[in-house]
Amino acid sequence: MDRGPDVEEVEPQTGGGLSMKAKWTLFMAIFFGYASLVSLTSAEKALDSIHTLDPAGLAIGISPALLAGIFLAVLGLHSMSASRAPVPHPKRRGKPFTRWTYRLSLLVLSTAALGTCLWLLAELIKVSQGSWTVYLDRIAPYIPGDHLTSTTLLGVSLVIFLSGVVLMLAGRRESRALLVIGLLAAIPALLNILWADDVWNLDLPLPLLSLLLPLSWLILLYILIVPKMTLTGVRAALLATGVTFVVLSGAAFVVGFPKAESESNQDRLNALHARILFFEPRIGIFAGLCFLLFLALGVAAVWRNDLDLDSWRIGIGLAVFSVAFVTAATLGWQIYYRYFVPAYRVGFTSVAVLLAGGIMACLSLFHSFYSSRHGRSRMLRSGGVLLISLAVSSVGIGLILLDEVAITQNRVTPVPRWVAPYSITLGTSSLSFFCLAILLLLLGWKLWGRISLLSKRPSPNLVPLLLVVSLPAILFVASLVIQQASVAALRLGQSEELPDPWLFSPATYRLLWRTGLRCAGVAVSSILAILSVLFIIPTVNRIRTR
Amino acid sequence: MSEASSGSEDSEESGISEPGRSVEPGDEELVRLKDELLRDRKPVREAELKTSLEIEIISSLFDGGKTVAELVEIVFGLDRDDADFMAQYSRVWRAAQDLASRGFVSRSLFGKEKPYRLTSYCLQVLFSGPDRSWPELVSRIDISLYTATVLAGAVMLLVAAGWFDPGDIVFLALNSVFFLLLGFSSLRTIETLLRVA
Repeated sequence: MDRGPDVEEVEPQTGGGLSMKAKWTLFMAIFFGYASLVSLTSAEKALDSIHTLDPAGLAIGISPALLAGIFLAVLGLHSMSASRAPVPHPKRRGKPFTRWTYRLSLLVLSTAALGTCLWLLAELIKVSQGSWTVYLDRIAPYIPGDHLTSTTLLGVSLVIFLSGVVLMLAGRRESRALLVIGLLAAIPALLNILWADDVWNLDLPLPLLSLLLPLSWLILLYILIVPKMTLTGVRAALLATGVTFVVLSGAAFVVGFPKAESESNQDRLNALHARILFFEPRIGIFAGLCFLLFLALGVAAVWRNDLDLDSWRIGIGLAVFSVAFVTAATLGWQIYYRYFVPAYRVGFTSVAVLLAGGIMACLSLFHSFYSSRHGRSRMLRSGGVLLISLAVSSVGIGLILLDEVAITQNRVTPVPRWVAPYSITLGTSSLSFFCLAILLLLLGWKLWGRISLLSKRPSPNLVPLLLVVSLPAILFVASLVIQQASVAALRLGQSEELPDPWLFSPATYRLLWRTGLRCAGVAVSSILAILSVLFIIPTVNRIRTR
Repeated sequence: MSEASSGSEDSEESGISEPGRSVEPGDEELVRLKDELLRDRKPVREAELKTSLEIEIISSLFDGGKTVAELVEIVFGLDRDDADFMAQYSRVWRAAQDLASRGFVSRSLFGKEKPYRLTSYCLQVLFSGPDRSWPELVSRIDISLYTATVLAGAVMLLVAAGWFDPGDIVFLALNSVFFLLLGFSSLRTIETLLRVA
């Protein structure tokens, strides 16, 4: 509506017809409607084809991602050869080759992301049609929680790293951040994969992979696209992603919840436990990937806008949202586990601390968005609240892990206590959470108390700041991996197939080998945590003195 | 190249417009183009602007988004109380609608005031000099891409409906190809939409 009602009343009824924007919006709606129709109609047929072709169908089924990988490799090689050319080709004048590479990368990645997302949708449809138990029967024996998490993380880190390589060849400065994040995120994932002995078992059900791929590709897609988007676009992407995650995870829960009323209590409990084992890795994956996603969005927004007011608002807002999401997911999971599965309880204090951290994180989320209208000072203050609440949450998680140590020590298992790998893993991972809590507390205190810390505009080189932001996240993810590993170790301890540790059989050696690797992984993660603390303190000081 | 101009090039290259974008001190190229439009009018024919009113509208929008009423005030120097204001308002509105239908200007769908602004496509057209190729909104490659996607989807629909059975491997390969084409098409569609949004 234009200004003044008198003007609006005489608006003529003729003009140039539909605007180009309206035409393209209409075309896009029809196009996506058609694509949705095709996807939904052919979903069942595709799934049937996959299940009859395992593992060949597995390879073909993920071919969009494979093709995307091939495209990326070709583009990287092409960029490399182009960068060696001493003089640009005349025909390319005005259209830098790097931009062409960049746009093609976006095309390929969006393809993979969209394709795999639709695949995920098809999986949910399949589940809703009553074949859930088939999946459950195939999944339950493997209990692939730690494997999934580590495979996901490795995939994400690998993709991030590869995209960093491509962007580096294309001459874009975002490449440094992607390379660093990819490398650091790969370490805990690689370690965790080393711990497991059947990671690449082809019997891993396809739905799990179909859950992993779209999310990892989506992350990369957003990392690449966000620096080119307007702030409104960032918000829209954030909203769409958040809604997608909530809807998909909610649908998974609703569809998978036990429905059989005629079963005995024990059967229902067993079914519930099996479903928990099924959903647990997904919660971890959702939480971890959301955290990475929003972190990437925040970093990209900060990077793009060079630390102006809007970028800080978005960066802090996104970080708060990610923390709230992760905390809520973890909290929901812990409460669900403790109060619905009688055999698995820990102290109420730990849950209460975690709950307090979650509530604080949620409050800081609203405070951050609200105070974003009132200047940088209040925003930074809310950012400080966010980090402090995250620290409280980390303490809660650490306490829970310590509780679990106590439980496992009292549990009768075939494994003697001194060799129980889960006790060591749980203890060390709880220490990692405490380290993380100290780190976040420090940063939160800096933001809370020293508003002038970032009042002066730092130099455009944001790598130190990026590391400050990314290292706690990597620590968090590493701790998540360790937690998953410890859960798997718990199940290992409960297994009837566990060999007698006093007999020096090959199985015993394998057990000890895995235990040693787990301990080594935990040690490396702890060293990383300590190093990051040692690195971040002088970095913060450097920023402060600028 | 300065940071500002680099950013402008990025935005143009990605096809993402910046709503309400005004001419900033560093945008010498935009200022030059605006002067050229008003004084020399050489690139006007190349941009296929039909009337001088359209030229005036485009030139006015270089300084940022404007409502139709504001355009009338700027172009004709009329106040809202003038008797001729309504008639000129209709002319400007029709011209703006015509420009919008060709993708040169755009306005928000929602909001109390919905000022017209230049689209990214318009800037690309105006910046394309006589020695450069005319920027196409929809290239032949795009059309081929959309057609291939629709055809792949149609084949998948036929297979799913049981009209014929190409075998599991072929179907999965077709499925992957469809997703691949759909991804390409989707991004191109979004990019095109953003160029005229």
